[in-house]
Amino acid sequence: MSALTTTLVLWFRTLLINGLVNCFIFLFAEGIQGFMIAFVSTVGSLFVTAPLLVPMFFLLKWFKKLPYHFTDRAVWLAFMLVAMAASCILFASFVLDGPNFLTDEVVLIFLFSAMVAAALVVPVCINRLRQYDNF
Amino acid sequence: MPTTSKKTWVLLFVLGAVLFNILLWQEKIALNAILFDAFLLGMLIYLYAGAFKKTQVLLMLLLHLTTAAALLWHNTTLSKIAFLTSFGLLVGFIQYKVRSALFAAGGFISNIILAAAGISENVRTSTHTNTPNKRRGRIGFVVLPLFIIVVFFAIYRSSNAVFATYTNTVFDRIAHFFENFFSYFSFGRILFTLLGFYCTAAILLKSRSRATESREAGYSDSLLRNRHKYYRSTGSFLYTLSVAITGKLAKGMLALKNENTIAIISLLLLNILLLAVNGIDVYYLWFNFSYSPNTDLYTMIHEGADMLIVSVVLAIVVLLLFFRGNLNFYKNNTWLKRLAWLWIVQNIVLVVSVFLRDYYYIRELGLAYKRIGVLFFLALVLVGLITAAVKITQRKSAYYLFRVNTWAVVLLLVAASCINWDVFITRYNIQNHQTARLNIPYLVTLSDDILPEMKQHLGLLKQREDTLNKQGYYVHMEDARKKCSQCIEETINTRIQQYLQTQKKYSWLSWNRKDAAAVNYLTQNQ
Repeated sequence: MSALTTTLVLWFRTLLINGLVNCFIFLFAEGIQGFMIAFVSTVGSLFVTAPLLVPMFFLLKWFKKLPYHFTDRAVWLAFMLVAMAASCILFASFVLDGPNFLTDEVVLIFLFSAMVAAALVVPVCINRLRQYDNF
Repeated sequence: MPTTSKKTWVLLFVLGAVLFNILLWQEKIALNAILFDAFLLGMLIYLYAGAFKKTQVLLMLLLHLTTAAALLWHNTTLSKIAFLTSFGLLVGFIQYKVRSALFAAGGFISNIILAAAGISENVRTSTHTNTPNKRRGRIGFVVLPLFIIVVFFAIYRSSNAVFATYTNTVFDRIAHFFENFFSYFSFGRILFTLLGFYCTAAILLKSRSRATESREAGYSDSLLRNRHKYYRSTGSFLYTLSVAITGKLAKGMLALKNENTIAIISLLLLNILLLAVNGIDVYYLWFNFSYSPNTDLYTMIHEGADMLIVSVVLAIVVLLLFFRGNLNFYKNNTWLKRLAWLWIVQNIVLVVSVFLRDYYYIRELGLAYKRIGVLFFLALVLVGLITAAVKITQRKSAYYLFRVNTWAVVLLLVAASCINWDVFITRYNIQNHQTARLNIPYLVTLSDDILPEMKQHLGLLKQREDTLNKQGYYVHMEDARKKCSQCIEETINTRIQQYLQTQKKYSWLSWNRKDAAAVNYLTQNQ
């Protein structure tokens, strides 16, 4: 299991979890219409988040080199992914909405779901990460 | 590495997080930062007692305490930056066996990046049980049914109005509970506490990475002679470049001799060129400079000084290139060394010329941040040139140059933090208003620190504003189209009101001498 394939798997599953969380939230907030919007936005995020594959790839390279136990490295990876997802959304919202972007509810929902997805993807892919670590 | 139990580490992180939360939440970085700093320093002394025998640690501690005093006294942005930087460097020096400030910074950065792994390691080993795996297994049974139920629940809710009404009541109660909960425990404050937890861990816990230590261990202050009969390719970029430029001359038995000849010719030509430039500067700038309104000081400084500073930095790079290897040990390098010395002396003359340009600019137009910045940069360049001379004379390595110069940067940062530059600039410009034109629009862009000075000299400022208005210039702060005749008074008074209002929000934790004195003066003279 190479770094590239593991990166792709991690990235795709993060988007999937993010999409699921978004669909849940928008389903409650807006009904079926909101669900559809969240679904379309998940498909769109495949293209928008593609550049994040590069930092994710390097994170995985470092993940293998860190002088810590596997579990601690997994926690570190989850933390770095959460930090990366949060900073990307905050930066994008700041550019689009200006300095008061944190008052926007939609931004907060996206921020929450992205952070949850980034945190959950590591336990979800733990076996794949173990395979990559032993590769 | 300290022999502290894992549970004690976790307790220390929690204590740090609580203190961070209590001391720093919605406060200014002032007395509270000193208190938090005292806690962290105490813990560092307790955990890494042995490190406090190292010279670098003691020197850095002294510098850090100086910045702490500056923070409490001046409370400027620069003093805050210096305080945080010196603390980071102190942590780096305490926890890692390094000699250079930049490698100490590298060690501290690795602490910050790897803190999550360190926290996990301590939490995992202090609470080691087998239950999570079983729990994870049980959770697996619930995930899919939960997902299906949630989807169908949402569908029924949107299709059945009565069902929606009942569920809305339940949701309202849940929302009400969370509203109440977050009115007592704000979400922001919880995140802030977590930040405190992470920061404490990053500061106290040494990362397992040895990258900075092992990398620095490979460098030495003194150059070592690398004996070889033929010049073989080292695969380095510099070697490839020299072969590409000089061809055969960079190869074979005579490579070192050829390199020496090339270096002598280059330095000779550079010295002749610089002699011409310095001759002009010494004649016109040092001895025959007289200011007239036609003199374009702006071009002289901004275009002249910038390029000259670049040229001095490049001069150091040129010397580093020539004296990077065995040319230092070549027995016929006497002329090369003499020319290098002459080149350094000439560059020092150039530094003095740039200093004079800046001095004339300050004398005619007063002080400003960029003009002070040039002075600091010149001081650093001067240190760079002196250390380059030491490197050539005592056969020191490039690492030595790099190590001494990073210390010079740190010392200069600490020294600069001991002065409130906004107040210094304002005082100087007001005191010298008869010789240097007083630039009110610039003064107004400075921080609130200058408000007592501005209030004290309001009469003079209004006078200057009148003169500017007669010349067609207006002191407009918020509205560029506004052409008022008493803008300065209005602006200062508005800013004083806003400043006093802001100060009321802070508790004793944000105490610092500058704000205390300013509030006292401004309230008495309102």
